[in-house]
Amino acid sequence: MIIIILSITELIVLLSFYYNYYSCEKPNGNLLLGVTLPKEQIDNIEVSAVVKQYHKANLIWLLMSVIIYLPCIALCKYISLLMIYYIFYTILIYYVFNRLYIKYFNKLYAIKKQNKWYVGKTHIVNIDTEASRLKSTFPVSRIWFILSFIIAILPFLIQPFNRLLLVFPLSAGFICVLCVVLHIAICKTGNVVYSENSSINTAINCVFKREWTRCFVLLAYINSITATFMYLLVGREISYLNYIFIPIIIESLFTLSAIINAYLKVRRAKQLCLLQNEAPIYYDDDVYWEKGYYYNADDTHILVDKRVGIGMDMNMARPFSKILSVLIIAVIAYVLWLGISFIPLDFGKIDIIVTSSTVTINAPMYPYSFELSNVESVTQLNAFPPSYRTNGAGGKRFAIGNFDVKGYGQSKVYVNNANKNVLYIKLKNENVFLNAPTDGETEALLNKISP
Amino acid sequence: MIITLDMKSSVPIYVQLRNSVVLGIGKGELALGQCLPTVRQMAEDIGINAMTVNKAYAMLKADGYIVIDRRHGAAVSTDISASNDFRAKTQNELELLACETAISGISKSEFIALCASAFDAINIKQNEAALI
Repeated sequence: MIIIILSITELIVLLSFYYNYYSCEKPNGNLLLGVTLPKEQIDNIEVSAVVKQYHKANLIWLLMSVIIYLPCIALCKYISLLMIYYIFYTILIYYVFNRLYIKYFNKLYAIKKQNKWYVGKTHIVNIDTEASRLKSTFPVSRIWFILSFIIAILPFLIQPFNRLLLVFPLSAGFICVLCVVLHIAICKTGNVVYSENSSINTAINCVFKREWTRCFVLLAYINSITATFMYLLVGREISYLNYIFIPIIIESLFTLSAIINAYLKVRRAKQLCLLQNEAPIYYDDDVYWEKGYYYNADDTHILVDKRVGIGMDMNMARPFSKILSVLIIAVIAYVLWLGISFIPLDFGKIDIIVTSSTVTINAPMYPYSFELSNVESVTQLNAFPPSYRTNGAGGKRFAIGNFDVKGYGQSKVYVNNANKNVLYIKLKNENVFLNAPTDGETEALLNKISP
Repeated sequence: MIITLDMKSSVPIYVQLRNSVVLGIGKGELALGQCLPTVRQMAEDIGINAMTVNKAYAMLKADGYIVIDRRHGAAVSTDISASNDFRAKTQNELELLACETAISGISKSEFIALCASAFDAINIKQNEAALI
């Protein structure tokens, strides 16, 4: 099942990457492959040759990415290795797509410099006083976020507090804060001057800010409603946690739709307005994009219009962008570390040593021991009851760590999934579930541990 | 009005901004009484520190080109009149310019023609909304 979900996700990611970079092969105003060119040079033979080379290289890499993905199917038995491979794979496909883009951007940029195809002056900033004056009226009000925050904390008001499910309102609250930050960033984004005509500048910038800020408000609502729904659902019946991926997939689809909708509306409005633009203003700020990303120390804006694909790019010269990049790298490193720490779960084993006074359980990640004198009773169960992992690891081979076991509450669990027979050990202050790989060994443990 | 600033120019940004607004008023791109963006809005759009815009606005206000209202922000002044200080300043600047022009080999008639041409391009407009 996991490999099917993973493969579909990866296919979407792969196609998104491809489409993202493919989009810059088509002229976007004066932009081609992210390079600003004079309109009459867009169809130049030399330029077309570079675009063709880029198209071919991109397509080859897309096919190679599919082939490189195949080992994932073979690794699906080992979650840890799958996780590590998957992360490296995603980083690799992004890196190569990006390197290809930078390579051909620089190739085209070199041709442009050689032929002196500059469009307008460089290092110039234009401001439309009318669009600038009306700027604060463009975005959707931030007051709308209040309701999304209320929805996020709604579960606390209508259901008893459940510490285990705290992750849902917390994540919803975090996403709401993130959406507010992005809303502020969009509001602070400078107006772009497209024309000598103020009406055109005002219209395009208004649609841009209105649609993107509305999109972030919508995302906050989508996330809060989904998190609250999941909290209430799982709070009612813990086993519904196994189907949690369904609302997550639905939420992702809504999120994607909201982003694409905003992007398309802005693009349509821009195209419509620019059709009537009789006095266009061109910029030539390719010099800031030479590194493959936007780097302009003279510009205080954090977000700028993307040159390739959908959305916004960060100005990497700003400290905020640098900090955010480090945070993203830290999150990736953390997920990678998680994958590495899961390796013992795929290749380790649960070793239970019973001495005259103690029981020592050597298990990957969660070793544990208890005194035999603490044992009140030992019962053999035919099956491990339904449970919810609170701080542990549940792989294909084991369930190890702290679990919320239905009918027993918080428990320590050391169960080999291959064996249905499980020992329930009631200690003075704790519940423990354990077994050995075979029925015989489990029976032997029962005899040794029973008071 | 479209203001164009050269970020690599040796002329400071606030001077460029101040001159652009004056040129805008003179050429009729900014009508008398027309509202201007606030310091914060302008600074955000240019991508510079608000203090730089503040400095330009302070100069424009001191020269009487704009008025700043706490509630309504900045607007082009509806009553721009030359003070005696301004006349003296203009005379000094013209003397310098005339000297530079003469040294460069430009004749008096040519210089006067250039001045007349620049003056003829001036087209100060009243903001209709401000008149109501």
